[in-house]
Amino acid sequence: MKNRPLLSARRVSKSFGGVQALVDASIEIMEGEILGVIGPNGAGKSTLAGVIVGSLRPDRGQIIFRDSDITKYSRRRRAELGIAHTHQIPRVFPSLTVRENMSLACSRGLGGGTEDGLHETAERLGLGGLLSLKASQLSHGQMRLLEIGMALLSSPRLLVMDEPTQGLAGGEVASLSSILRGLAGKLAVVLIDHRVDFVVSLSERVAVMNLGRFVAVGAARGRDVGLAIEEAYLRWA
Amino acid sequence: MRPRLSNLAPLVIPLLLAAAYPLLPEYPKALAARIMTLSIYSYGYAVCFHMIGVMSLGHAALFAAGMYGAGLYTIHVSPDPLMALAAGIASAVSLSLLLGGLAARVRGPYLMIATLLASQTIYLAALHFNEVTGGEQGLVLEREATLVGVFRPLMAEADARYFISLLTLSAAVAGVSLLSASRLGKLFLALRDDEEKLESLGYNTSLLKLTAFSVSGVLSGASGALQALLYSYVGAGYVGIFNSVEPVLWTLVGGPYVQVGPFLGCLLVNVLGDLARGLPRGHVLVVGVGLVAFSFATGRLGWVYRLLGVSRGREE
Ligand SMILES: Nc1ncnc2c1ncn2[C@@H]1O[C@H](COP(=O)(O)OP(=O)(O)OP(=O)(O)O)[C@@H](O)[C@H]1O
Ligand SMILES: [Mg+2]
Repeated sequence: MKNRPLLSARRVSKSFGGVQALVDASIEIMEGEILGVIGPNGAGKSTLAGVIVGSLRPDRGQIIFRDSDITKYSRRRRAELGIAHTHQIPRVFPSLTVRENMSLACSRGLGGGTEDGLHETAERLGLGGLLSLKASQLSHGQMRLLEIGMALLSSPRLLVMDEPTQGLAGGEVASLSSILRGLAGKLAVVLIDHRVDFVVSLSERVAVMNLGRFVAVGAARGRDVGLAIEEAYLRWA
Repeated sequence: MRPRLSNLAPLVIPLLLAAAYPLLPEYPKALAARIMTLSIYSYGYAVCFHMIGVMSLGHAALFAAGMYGAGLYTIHVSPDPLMALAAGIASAVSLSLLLGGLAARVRGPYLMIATLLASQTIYLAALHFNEVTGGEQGLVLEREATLVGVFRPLMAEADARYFISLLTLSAAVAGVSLLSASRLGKLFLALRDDEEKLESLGYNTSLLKLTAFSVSGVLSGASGALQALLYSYVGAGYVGIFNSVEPVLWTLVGGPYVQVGPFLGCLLVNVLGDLARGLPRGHVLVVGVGLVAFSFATGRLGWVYRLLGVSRGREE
């Protein structure tokens, strides 16, 4: 099944006032693959995430999910199709406990999240001992892990992760790596991150973005991608 | 997220009120009955204000729908107080769907204006159709057709008012307490915290708002209906802007603890208001400042509420 695109963005453009955040950007995400997305600040990565999950409407272009055009679908309909999102700045429900946050996510998306699954996910993310804590009491990194846990519990087909390692400690990054590795083949992940080694080690393919465009897409450890990363960051720096 | 028996701890309030009954002299007893009736409205308002974080300035319309629904049913359909109560609640719930529909479309200050306009429309309609509603003067219901009339063979009017409002208040406190501990209550809080995130988890946030508004409608409408059925009077005086703003004050003063705050706020504002009536202007100002100070303090009273086993609704 790996050779069928699960989602494709076709010539998607989006601007904010005068800023062109996405310019005719096209990309395909295959069933079960982890696609890394790398690019300097302002490259358009979060905007790409937004048009995929439905929090942003593209000005032009289409989003196709499993052969249907979902460009006009609301965020909620996309969630029901199994598209989940973790935000660059983590978003959880601060007045609810960790357990309640996770439990609200359980029954959503394609469903299937159970109480056992909740405990297991919490353990794996190192949140096992914090289940009764209010989410507002968590550290930034713990909030991020909680949001990731919620996304996983909704059993998504496609998970769009916007900078999941930002603000995580080394150990937390390692356990996130092993969780993502464990998911390989079960769902597709769009993995946006600035940690090149983290992205490259987890992804089969990497897409490099700069100034709203994909400047290279290819094998994670391939030469094209390596050069493009170097150039994008150099030019930006 | 299943409600437990311990979630009913806030029922101590009605229990205390029941215990206070034999001790209260006539006037405070009447005032307490009045406050209990109104605090059901206060709970109704808190469902929107504290649980889903939506500020409406049109809730007087829901109170009014309950009041006119019950009153007009009694006059024109049948003098059956329980059916009249149901009719009042039903009209308030229908109207709450309208306000909830507004809340699903517009937010913040726009919603405040939209709900204000909606309730002003009801107010003007109540004035305009004065042959039906009695306009500003209002209508006096026949005592025999109301709840106090039904209970007259058993007890004095003042007692009937006290106990019927106490009973209804207990139901409201129990309902709101169970709701806030339930999964739906958690969804309400999540909606207040981050509507977009909730939507992106696949929840229908418009439907959640409609649900919250209809719960609010049940409570506000019941309060309005009790006004008609316990005091045998309905009138446009209960529909103005002031009556939409009052519950804002009550729930602010009472603080974010939705199980007990709405009652405490309503109690405090009305008792102080009652005391202030005989005072010169300057003293009224002092009372006002005291209220503001208290409403700040309620945010700091977490430990008191925790001792009482009450969980907070709103996170600062
Ligand atoms: N809501 C918005 N309003 C105005 N401009 C925006 C908005 N969102 C993004 N932009 C602009 O669009 C461009 C792309 O932003 P985007 O957030 O997609 O970049 P990014 O690749 O995610 O960057 P970062 O690595 O800093 O997260 C930037 O120039 C940004 O300033
Ligand atoms: Mg970004």
